[in-house]
Amino acid sequence: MSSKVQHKNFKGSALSGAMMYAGLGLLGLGGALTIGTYVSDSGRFWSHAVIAFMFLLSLGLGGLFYVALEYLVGAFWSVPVRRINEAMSGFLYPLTVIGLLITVITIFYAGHSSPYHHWLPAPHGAHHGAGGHGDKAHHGEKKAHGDSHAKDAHAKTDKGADSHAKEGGHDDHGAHGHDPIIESKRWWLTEMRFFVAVCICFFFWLLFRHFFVSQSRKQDVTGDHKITLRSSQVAAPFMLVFAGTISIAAVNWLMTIEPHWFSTMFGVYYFAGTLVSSAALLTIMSVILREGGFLHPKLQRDSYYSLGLMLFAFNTFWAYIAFSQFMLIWYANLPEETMWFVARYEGGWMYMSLFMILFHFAIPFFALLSRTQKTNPNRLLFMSMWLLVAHYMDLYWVVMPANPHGGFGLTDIGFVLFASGFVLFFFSFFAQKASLTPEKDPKLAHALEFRLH
Amino acid sequence: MSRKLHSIVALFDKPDDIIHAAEKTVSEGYKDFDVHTPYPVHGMDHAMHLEPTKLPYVTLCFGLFGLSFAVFFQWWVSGDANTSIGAKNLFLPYWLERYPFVIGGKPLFSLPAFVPVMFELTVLFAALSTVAALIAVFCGLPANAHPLHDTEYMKNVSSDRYGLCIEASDDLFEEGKVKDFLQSLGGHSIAAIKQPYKRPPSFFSTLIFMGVLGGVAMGVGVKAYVIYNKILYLPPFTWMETQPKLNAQDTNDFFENKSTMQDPVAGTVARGFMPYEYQGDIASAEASLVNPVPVNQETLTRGKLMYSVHCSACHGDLADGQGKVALRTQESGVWAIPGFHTDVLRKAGDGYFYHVIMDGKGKMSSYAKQIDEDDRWALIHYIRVLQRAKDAKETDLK
Amino acid sequence: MSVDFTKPAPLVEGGVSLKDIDDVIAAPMEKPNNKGFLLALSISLSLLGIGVISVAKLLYDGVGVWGNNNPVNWGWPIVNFVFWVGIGHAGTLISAILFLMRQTWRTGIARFAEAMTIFAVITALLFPLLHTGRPWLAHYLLPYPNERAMWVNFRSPLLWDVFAVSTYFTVSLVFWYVGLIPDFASMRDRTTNKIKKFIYSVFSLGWRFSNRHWQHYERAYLILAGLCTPLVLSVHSIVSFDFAVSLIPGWHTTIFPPYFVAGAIFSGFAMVLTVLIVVRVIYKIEHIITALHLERMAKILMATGLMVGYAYGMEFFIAAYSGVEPEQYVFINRAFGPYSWAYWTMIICNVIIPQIFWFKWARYNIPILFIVSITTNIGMWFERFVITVTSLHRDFLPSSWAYFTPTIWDVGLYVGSFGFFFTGVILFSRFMPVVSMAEVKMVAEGAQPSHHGGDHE
Repeated sequence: MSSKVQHKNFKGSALSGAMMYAGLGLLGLGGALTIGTYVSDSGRFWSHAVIAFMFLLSLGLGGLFYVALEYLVGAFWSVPVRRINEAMSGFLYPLTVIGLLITVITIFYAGHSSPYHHWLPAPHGAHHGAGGHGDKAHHGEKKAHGDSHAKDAHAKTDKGADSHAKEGGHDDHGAHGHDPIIESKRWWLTEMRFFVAVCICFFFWLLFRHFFVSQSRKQDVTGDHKITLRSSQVAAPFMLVFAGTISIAAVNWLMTIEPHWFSTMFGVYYFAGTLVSSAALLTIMSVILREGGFLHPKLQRDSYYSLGLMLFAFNTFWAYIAFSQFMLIWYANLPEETMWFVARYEGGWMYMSLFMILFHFAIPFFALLSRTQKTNPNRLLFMSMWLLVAHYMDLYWVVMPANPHGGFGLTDIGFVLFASGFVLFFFSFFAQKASLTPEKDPKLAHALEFRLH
Repeated sequence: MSRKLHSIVALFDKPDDIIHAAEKTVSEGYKDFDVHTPYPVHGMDHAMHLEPTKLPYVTLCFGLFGLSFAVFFQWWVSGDANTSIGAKNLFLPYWLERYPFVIGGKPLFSLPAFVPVMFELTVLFAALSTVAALIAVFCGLPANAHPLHDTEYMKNVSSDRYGLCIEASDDLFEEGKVKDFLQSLGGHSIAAIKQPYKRPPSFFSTLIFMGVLGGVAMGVGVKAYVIYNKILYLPPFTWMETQPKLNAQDTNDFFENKSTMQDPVAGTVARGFMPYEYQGDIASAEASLVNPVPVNQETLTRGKLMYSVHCSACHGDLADGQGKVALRTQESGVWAIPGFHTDVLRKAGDGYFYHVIMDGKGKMSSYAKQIDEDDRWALIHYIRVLQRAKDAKETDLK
Repeated sequence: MSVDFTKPAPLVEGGVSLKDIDDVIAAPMEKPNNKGFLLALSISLSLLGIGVISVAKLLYDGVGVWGNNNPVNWGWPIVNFVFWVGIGHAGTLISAILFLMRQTWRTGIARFAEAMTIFAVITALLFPLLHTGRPWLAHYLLPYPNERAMWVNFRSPLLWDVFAVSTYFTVSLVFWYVGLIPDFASMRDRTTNKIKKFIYSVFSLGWRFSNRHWQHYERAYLILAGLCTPLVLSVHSIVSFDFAVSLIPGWHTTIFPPYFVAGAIFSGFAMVLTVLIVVRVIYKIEHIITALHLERMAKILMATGLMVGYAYGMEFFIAAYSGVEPEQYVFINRAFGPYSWAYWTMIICNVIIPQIFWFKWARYNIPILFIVSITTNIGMWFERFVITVTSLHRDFLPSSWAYFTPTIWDVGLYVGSFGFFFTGVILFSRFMPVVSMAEVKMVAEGAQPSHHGGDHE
């Protein structure tokens, strides 16, 4: 049964207005600051741009994923907050623009400033950053092979030396450009193929987003149960497409930054981060909107439990994936794989890596362990913000070490401001497009009855 | 002897009824009462005004304990007594000794490798403690002597009825009043439950119980002893030790010389010990052999190392024939050890030096078995360096 | 059939009363042996007999009777071990994970699934025990202070396995037992046989259905479910570490942990489906283990099967992307080399055949469910076989390549393991309640009060 809901309308409310204006302000301020970064070091600019983009993408994709998941498994508890997920999935529209822009520029125009310059065909004899980590990796790899190779290497012919380099040596900066490892990847790593793969991803994401959300809004009018049925049926093939496209997104935008490295877990790793960050944003918006009276008046605080549980469970899942990836590579100790982690051991990165274990896993684990903690709106708000910051840090940790001039300068805070502004503005924008409660959803009534016993 | 009254009970047919009954019981002021249902009824905890359970604290404490224990234990057994603080002086019995063993080049304290066991022990301790606490502490089980057992009431509540039980120990308890109260709530089958006859366990039965416990413990011990110290030393468990194979030191009727160990076939060459083709022929060696090793920093460093290990003791660090051994032989006048700074040796080809390493010369024996082929050539390059040092030209200074 | 989206589907069909539930579930325990039970038991005991003979031969002659050779020094034993541990995982998923997700439809099948977990894990444990050659020295695997002044190697995944599978077994057993306490108590109060009453009294610990106890009990159940969930993920991840920590192409790949877990759930659900389809007919409990249960299990089968397929695809993609030739060779060899017959069996059974469940009519068709559940298990056994054997039989050095053939004793032991498992499950179904009486009653219609003790802000 659905009743006429008496609650505050989000559209046109003070909150929505405030979010949009604050969002615009942050977008502007953030954007202005990032110009400072571009001016001082365009390479760092593009690395930060990719980080911010992937962060926002994970929020948009997560929203879409949760909408589809609810339909797929027939979940009840998330129905009263589904519109929040739908609004989050709306991010995908402006992200398509930003994403294509970033992709086109970094692939076709940025040249040496591009985070992908390692595999992009070398333009006009540009010299690679002073040794940087390339030599370090080569040196480290030499140490690993040890003396047994030292003697043999010198007796070998060019062919031997070639295969020796192939085993794990980094970019051959001397003999500029020709890296046999990267050449073997050209079936996937050319500018055009990269761009096309990314376009395909955006196409499917927008296609499915449009389907789920337009059908959901239609149900507000017609109350047709068949819409729920059809969405459940479409959700299944969507999941297949989603798995493929998010893997492509993670591989292309994040893994190819270090093109010699590979990990079959990487798509799952980005997916786990997506689950955590979008659960966090969902929680923040659910708590703010419910406490503000914008959601269904019958929605109890008991439902917060499910949100808290999702945060806790998915964060623990992320930690498990991250640890598995690390431990397997550490254990086998193969230089072609360890080089990625070695870059995150050296210099100041070691502190960040250790800090992340505490910040991204241990503290949220104990902060969300008990049932009381999971239903406390203040705790949920705080830990969700925390986890969003942690996810941003995680992406920073993934992208930045590959950049020899990387780091977090003063103006780089602009990217964080830009991302925050983006979230505020576009969330408000998309959330106003429909009622915040799917009023005629057949599952709504039962969903509102949920109580913790 | 009449049995004391334990409680008055009543049955209800619907979950709504029992919830209502529980709420009313609380509001009437009764404290020593209980509700019995065949399965947990939602909202009953709230209706009975129960305090939230403290069980999760047990889980947390023991889980954390399990985690710390796992870390400590793995650190202890994998660690090295020589490098750990204080561990060396502990005088532990041998069965608590540590067992530091380098596996795959991994550090003795390999935290990533320890994580899986840390996780498992955390879960194990947390789960077992939770269940033990649930049963023994929070529910006070086993309790097969409770008065409610074997009553009609229990048969009903374990199947499909809901029950309310108000105990006689409650301050407000009055048999008539309670019966009326239960009736007013809509309960049926109201009955009085009596305490069972209380018999303290007799001395004899306690003795038997302790005896059985002791017997079991002894039996397990004896069994363990017999199996691990006697049975495992009998066939078939000893088949691994007595195997139909020949050991190196055994006699053997198959060979003429009755020995299991035999010399290798004539002409066998050990790996890395190909026969030296210029044996005894220093002239051909000098003429034919060419140094294949390139001259660079790496080979010279290697050569220097080889020289200092094998040659400098006699020939001296500066190849001047003033090594420590040389000084001693000079004292006793036994033999003279040459330096390399003579014209003859400067003009001699690399093959000459190679031959001397391989064949020996005079009192010097062959070093073929001690120095690998590549190292020999690197060493020779270094010798040239030393020679050049005492024979430098003007142009070298540029 | 049209679905009513306004409320969750009814879990027990036909509006049965609480007493009926008790009667139906207790019936197999109270009636004398029925023909179906005896027939099933005799079949499983014969299979078990084959296993006993294989074990006797193994203990007498040693592990040389198996087909393991150089370089394939891990053969059927480890494949079977992973296979059985995987099957155990479905039970924990159904009882613990579905519980945490508040999927009340699990009640009909949870108890049976948990029992299957216990027996599957015991069966699995047989293999590492026997493959040591001297299983009477199996205690060497445990870290206890000993006269040899030696400790186990904590840096080896084989040791992590010891901890993981033992913990898994212990916690599953305890979880299962805790769930059985109220049912034993119900049986104690129903039975008139003095001996049975004594046994039930002992095992039910004098449980008296007090709500003060239920409060703690429910929380303990929730905690155990919450502990079992990461435990089940960790166990099969640790099993996957046996392979993934190595250097061997085809084994050393970071996606193994979640891939193995998804595969375990996949094969486990298939086995649960196979057994439940038979059990619900034999004991006439089709209204408790309903077609809806079977359909949902088929959907989970599909989902996990697709996850496994994703992992296949990702491994293949990264092998091609990485440019590492031995890695690329492994995948080519799997598809076109001497074991291609195993590889394509795996692909057909795991990836292609389960796609039939996209169609609703297939999900409700019992024969199809039964056949697909069996082919899935065949496919998953082959997956472990393909992973283990193809990566070992051709790795880096071509001069070391060799072909592996199992011996009759490998097969005999494997067949025996099925006998062992099924005997345990069949005996369980005869002597213990296969469905949790308390849990099913809890979710039956009209079992819970209609108002919710007030809304709390």
